[in-house]
Amino acid sequence: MALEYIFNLDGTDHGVSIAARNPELVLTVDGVAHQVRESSALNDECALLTVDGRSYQVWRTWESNRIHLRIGNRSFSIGYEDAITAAQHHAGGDDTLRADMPGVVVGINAKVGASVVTGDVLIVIESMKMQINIVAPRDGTVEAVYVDINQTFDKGAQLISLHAES
Amino acid sequence: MPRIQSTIQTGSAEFRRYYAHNRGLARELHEKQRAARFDRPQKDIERLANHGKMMPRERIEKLLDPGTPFLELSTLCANMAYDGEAPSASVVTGIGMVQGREVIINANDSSIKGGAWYPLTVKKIVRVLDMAIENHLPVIHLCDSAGGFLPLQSELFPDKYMAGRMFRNQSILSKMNVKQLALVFGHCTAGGAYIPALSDYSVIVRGTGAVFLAGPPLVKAATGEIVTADELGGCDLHTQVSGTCDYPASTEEEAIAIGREIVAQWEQTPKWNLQRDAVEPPYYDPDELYGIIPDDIKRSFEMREVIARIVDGSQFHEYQPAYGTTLVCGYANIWGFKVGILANNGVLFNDSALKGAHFIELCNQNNTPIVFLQNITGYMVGREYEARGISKDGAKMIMAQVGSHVPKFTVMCHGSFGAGNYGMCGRAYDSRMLFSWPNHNIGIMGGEQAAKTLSEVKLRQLERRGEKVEQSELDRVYRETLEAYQHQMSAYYATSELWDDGIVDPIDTRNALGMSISAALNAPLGAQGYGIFRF
Repeated sequence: MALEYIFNLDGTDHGVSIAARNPELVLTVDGVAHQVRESSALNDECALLTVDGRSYQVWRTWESNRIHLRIGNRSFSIGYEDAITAAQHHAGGDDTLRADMPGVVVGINAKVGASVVTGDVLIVIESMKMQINIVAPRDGTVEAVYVDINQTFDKGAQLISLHAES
Repeated sequence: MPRIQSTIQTGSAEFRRYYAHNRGLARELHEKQRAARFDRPQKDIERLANHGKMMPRERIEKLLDPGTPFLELSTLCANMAYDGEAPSASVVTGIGMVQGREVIINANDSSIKGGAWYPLTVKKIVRVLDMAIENHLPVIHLCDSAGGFLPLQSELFPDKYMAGRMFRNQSILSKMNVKQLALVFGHCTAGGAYIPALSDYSVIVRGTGAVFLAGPPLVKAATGEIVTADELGGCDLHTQVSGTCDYPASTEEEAIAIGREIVAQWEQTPKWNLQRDAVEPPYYDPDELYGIIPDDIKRSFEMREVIARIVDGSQFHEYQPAYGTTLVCGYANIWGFKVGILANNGVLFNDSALKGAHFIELCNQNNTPIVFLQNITGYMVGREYEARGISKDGAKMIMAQVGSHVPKFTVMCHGSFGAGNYGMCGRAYDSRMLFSWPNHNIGIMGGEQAAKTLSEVKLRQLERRGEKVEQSELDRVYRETLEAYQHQMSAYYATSELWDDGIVDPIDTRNALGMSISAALNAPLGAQGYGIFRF
């Protein structure tokens, strides 16, 4: 079984793997095999793509990990999550924020049940002459706050957690 | 490579406050640079014009290939020395392009005290010649100097890294086949005479250019001989009789044109073939750096947000993303050049130090230049960390870093305190280029810590002697220590003393690094190998 790459199309993940390269490229998309041929690229942006015998003129533009496509009058935006980032997400490490170093809590901005958005400062800690903001890594709801103001904590202590993503 | 996902909220009050603060610092920097470059007494500007002389930056502009950038170094050197009498330490240095080659420029500024060398002038010239040696960059000297500033001779003449080092470096460069050209626009007096004499090629301007070990007043004092500067060491004497200079020129412009033709004859040595990908600007706007850097040295910030605004496409392949998290390590591209980045995201622990040492070794194995982004308060202190060997783990980082055969570059992004400065390739560690941001602070410890330590020492001294301890006396020690520290910790003091190669506006960091990496590729890679790591 070939390595499966995950692409996201309009919020839905699709697993894609390369089943064969010769004599023709065969891609398995969500378990279904398709014969794919790219021929006569008209220019950098436009190519003729043949999928299972049917041809489409495809306009495309890249933006780091994302490709934007136009086929006829429909457009699609397909994202690719690289393997390192995907592994981090799957580890569930985003839900609980821990202290990178021992220190003391000097500010708490978040309450249990509060909705937060990416980048919100949840807690401020001080350690080794430095004040450090603990910020929300994603949008979500605060599940628990494990520390009080002026409380000291050890490295690796739980500080705050967000409800797991559904 | 994945793109860094920024979590910065550009609409937040904190972002706006930081933005206003740092934009203010950038404006202040640009104003100080402008003044150092161009503000001169009217009489000095007129004196140069009357002699048919250009200002040093006009000469450089005519010398460089049209439309190419000039990376000026240490513009604010000496800004807090000599009562501000020697802007830029009266010498302009930098990297520019001549005939498609990257070259070092060393240009005296005779609009300041006749271009006399202050102690920091000598330090700046020695540094730029070291840079030529490290990077195999040809040097073009634009000579116009009265020689050493006599009242301060003891600080510029006798020691190992003082004036003699300039001529030692010139000789080493020539031995390395790294070319040098001297354009003699004004006087090259005393030691200054050796600059053209030790250059492989030299051009001298008739009427204003002169090279001599002693000028007319000193000759008269020594031997009674009365002679004009031109008779003593002018263009015709040196190009027709002594052979000290090679090409005569009638005007400064003619000398520059001849100089460009000389450079065109130089062999084009191939650069080290570092992998280069297509250049992509950062996805996130570097302008947002102003809103990311805190307005207080005690406040930390997410270094990935900085990386995202320096590297191509804001793309970053992070190494050991879950281990030693207070040191961010990974690969990225700058101007298409692959680099390894080490950036502080908090104090260095045992695990972060080990990760750093290992990643430095990986960069060397992969022949990848290394960029250090410093914001470091030090290595973690305390019994637990000593027991785990924090000292020897920090030593490993230094050992790996010093043993590197790939070029290293350092940016002082905020704080640089204590041993963290060493591990993260501070000034002592041969970065090919070291830039600071205007918000940068540097010291062996923070000002408040130093003031507290010294007032406690004072308290114990007084107690030992059985003297009465006055709180007001302790407060005075604390206050004076703090003030002295704050003065000496600032980026402007650091750059004044040449602890860096110049302050850059944060939004120019990417271009400054890109030019520096490109210039560094002129030197081949050194031999690989490290000292003993203490395990």
